[in-house]
Amino acid sequence: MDAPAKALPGLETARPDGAPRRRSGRRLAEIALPAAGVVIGMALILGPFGATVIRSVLYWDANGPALSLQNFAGLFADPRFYQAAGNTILCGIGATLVSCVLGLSLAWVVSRTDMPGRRWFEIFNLVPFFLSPYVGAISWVYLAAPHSGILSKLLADVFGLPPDIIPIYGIGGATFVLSLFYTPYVYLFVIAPMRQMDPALEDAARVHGAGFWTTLRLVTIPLLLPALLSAALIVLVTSAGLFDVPLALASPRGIRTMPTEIFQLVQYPSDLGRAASFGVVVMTVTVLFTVLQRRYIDRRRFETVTGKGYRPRTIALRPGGRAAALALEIVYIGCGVVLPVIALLMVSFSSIWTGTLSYATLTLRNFEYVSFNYSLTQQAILNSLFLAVVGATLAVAMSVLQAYYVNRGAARRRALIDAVLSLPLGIPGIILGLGFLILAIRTPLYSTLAIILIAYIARFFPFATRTVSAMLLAINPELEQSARASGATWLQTMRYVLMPLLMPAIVAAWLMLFVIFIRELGATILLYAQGTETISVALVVLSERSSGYVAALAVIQLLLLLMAFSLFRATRASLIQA
Amino acid sequence: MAFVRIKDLRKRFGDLVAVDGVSFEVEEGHTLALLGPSGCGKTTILRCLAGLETGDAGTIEISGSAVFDHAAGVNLMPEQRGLGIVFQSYAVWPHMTVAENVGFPLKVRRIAKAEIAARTGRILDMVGLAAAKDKPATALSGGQQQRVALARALVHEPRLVLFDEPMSNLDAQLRARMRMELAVLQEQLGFTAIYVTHDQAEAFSLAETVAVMNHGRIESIGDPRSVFARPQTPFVAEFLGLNINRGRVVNCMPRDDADGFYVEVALSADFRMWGVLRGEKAPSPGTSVLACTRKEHIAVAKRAGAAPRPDVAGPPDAQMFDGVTRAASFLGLEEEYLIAIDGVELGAIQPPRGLHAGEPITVTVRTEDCIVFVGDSPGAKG
Repeated sequence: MDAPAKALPGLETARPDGAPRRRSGRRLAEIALPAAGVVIGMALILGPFGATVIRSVLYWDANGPALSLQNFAGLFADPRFYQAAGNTILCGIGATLVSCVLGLSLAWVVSRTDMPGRRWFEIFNLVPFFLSPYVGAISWVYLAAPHSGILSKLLADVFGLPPDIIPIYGIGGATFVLSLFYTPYVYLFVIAPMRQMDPALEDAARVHGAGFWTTLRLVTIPLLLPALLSAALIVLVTSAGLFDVPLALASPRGIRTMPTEIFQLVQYPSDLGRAASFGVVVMTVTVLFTVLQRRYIDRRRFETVTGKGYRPRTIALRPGGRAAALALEIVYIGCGVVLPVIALLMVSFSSIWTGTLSYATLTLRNFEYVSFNYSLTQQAILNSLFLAVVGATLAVAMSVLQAYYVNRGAARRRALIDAVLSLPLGIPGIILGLGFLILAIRTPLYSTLAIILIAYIARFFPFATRTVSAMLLAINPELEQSARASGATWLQTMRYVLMPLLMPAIVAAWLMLFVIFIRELGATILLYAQGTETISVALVVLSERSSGYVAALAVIQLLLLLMAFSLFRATRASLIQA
Repeated sequence: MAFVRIKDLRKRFGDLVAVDGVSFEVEEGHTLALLGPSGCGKTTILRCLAGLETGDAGTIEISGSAVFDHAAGVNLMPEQRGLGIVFQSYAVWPHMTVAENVGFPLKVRRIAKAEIAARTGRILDMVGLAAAKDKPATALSGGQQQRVALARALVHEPRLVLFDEPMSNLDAQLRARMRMELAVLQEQLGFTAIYVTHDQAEAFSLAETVAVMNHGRIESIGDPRSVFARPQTPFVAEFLGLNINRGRVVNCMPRDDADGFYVEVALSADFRMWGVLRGEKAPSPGTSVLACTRKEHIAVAKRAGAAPRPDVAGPPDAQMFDGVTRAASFLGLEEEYLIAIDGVELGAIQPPRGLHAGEPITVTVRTEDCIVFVGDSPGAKG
């Protein structure tokens, strides 16, 4: 591909003939490749968006399809829509509030105090970010289900409390589990500005007479507010759209939420028009939030952080404060990681699950069955690995081209392109899945792994683009320019200079997408067919049969995710807020 | 024949005209320095030469062939121009060793490994970095990274090397040494150089030709001595650090033995100074002018008595004024004074005289050392 750089004319050698022709060929790669990444990305977003919008205004009556607002009229006349919307808003707001308080406290405790073990907690606090919310939700069922839950039994046996004391099913339980998984988002958003904040800003407040709490209230938190608000908006939109948790914790009690309601609308007898109109409502709200975030919040973010590497003063806690900080960390890591993992292991090693681990029922049969004897789970593991590896690779390749286009290409319409390419960040997976379902339903792509792959890439490539973009922004363009001036073609410059420099971001983005794809459920649940099940789909299918199989498969998924997490730590690439 | 020839180069960024019709030529083996304040367009010209920026009009010829010709649609890519470039940021690749950095131009030219190693070793020897060959480039100090960038720009023996403020991040001593070494390297390798800087000492010491730029245009171009000794425009005078004082023409008489006129300029009610105005046209009394004097040419001494008033009309050889020091700062071999003559402030740089602020002094200025321009603001365009 990379032709040797023939140096010019007259400088080292005589001028070769026909230089302009070769030039146009070279320029083609430089211009066409990044543009192709952008065009494909746009198509991946606008395709399902357009399909959903068009389908929402098509209504079939006796004469065939016609343009009509009938779907919306039906949706808005249906009390279930309002129940679902209300419950979803409740879940979203609840999860956002809890995550913000938790995320901010954990970030502060880890970055600004002398709490013992804070180096370790700094890492542990990120683990829930890598786990599957669906598995988290079913583990919490094992822990807290009325009568059979491990904790429920423990509380009943030891303290004599009623066996249904923990309300894990319902909006409260869903909000609780969502909060556990979205806390790391807030944590990641606020910990960077917390670290980079000029300590003089706080010192000045102290010297001029403000106490510790007054400084926190009047200086520290206001400075963090833009980052916190950004995180809050993202958590609000994404947690409300997540299908996994309501499926496990709200549906069993017949409580409707937006994602589970859309799932129901697609099931037989399906009403795709109604589902599409619901989707349009959700997309409109999400896009409004995204615009709001870009307009008013992102803009203020750079005012607080100077970008210099400050070393903020760590605060020496009093013994009481230390104990409180440590307790907070232990409760969070306990609820988010340790307890669910223990529950999964206990269930997965038991032949019959009755709520307690007993020696008599210990077995490896569950693992044996899902790994070797059951074609559904075997296929699901292979499918998930294929989707994760191929999907992450394709999405990262595309994201590098897009990041290059947005940061290095011609300046025209860059902001608009960037905005469109970031759209999927807030769109729930199930909505994008619905869009691809509508697009593919009468094509050969329907019920193939390919359509799931495409949906994964479309839904999640912006995470990779943001990660790579952030790194590209920090690379001085003169590094590439001096390669070009040294005689390297564009492709050689990419290969020898830019790619190696971007490698940390590329690896980080790849691992992040690998993790996301291994656990994805919202989009997959609408697009899978027999033979294209993934691990998450198999978990849902199996949950109606045996908790032992579910737990064993969940442990296998967990191992894959933890492997990616430790690789992620090993590359030492910083997580970019996405 | 000129080796580099730029004709009527223009480049704008949105509403900003960065390069406004610039033309110049550089002889083979010579150095041209583009000198000017930041934002004057000098770096844009360099980037157009390298192919990193595309001009909006004009032509650039290197070694007799067009690398850029807007009208003919010719625009060679940077890698096709076969140049070397040293950036202000050095742009040393942090993921490569010193030898990998320096060998890069050879590697992309598909040169055999053994030859790359040999040539890289040779050039690293020349810049004094042979010992650091296998170190990661980021382990080096700023000055050493600068040498890596230099070696990389020279290793493929380009006949034109571009320098974009290469020494502005070095301390003064290192800068002086690098200037000398660069001159030696150029002597040995014989490349043509175009050198962008805002440091006049650097420009004057390195270049055969200096072009002073302002607002995207060349204000003055010529050999360093003439550019320095005889500023062509008020802007150049100000940029070179001369005193600029506004005044009005009182008297004017043609010079007998040279072109231009002697003019007497009223700088304040009681302070008139003679200077030289070049040009064909005599200014009428009352014309706004700028009187420019080099600080080193303002001689000061403790006042012994009142300055003699010339009793003949016409320009004296040397003029004497009564003044007072406002501030003094000791610079080592020299001392800089801020002085006032009838309320008009001037800077003076003289061997230390031990004067203090507020001391009465006698100021001597040779008439030939005061350059007068018609106009009322040095930064004005055109």
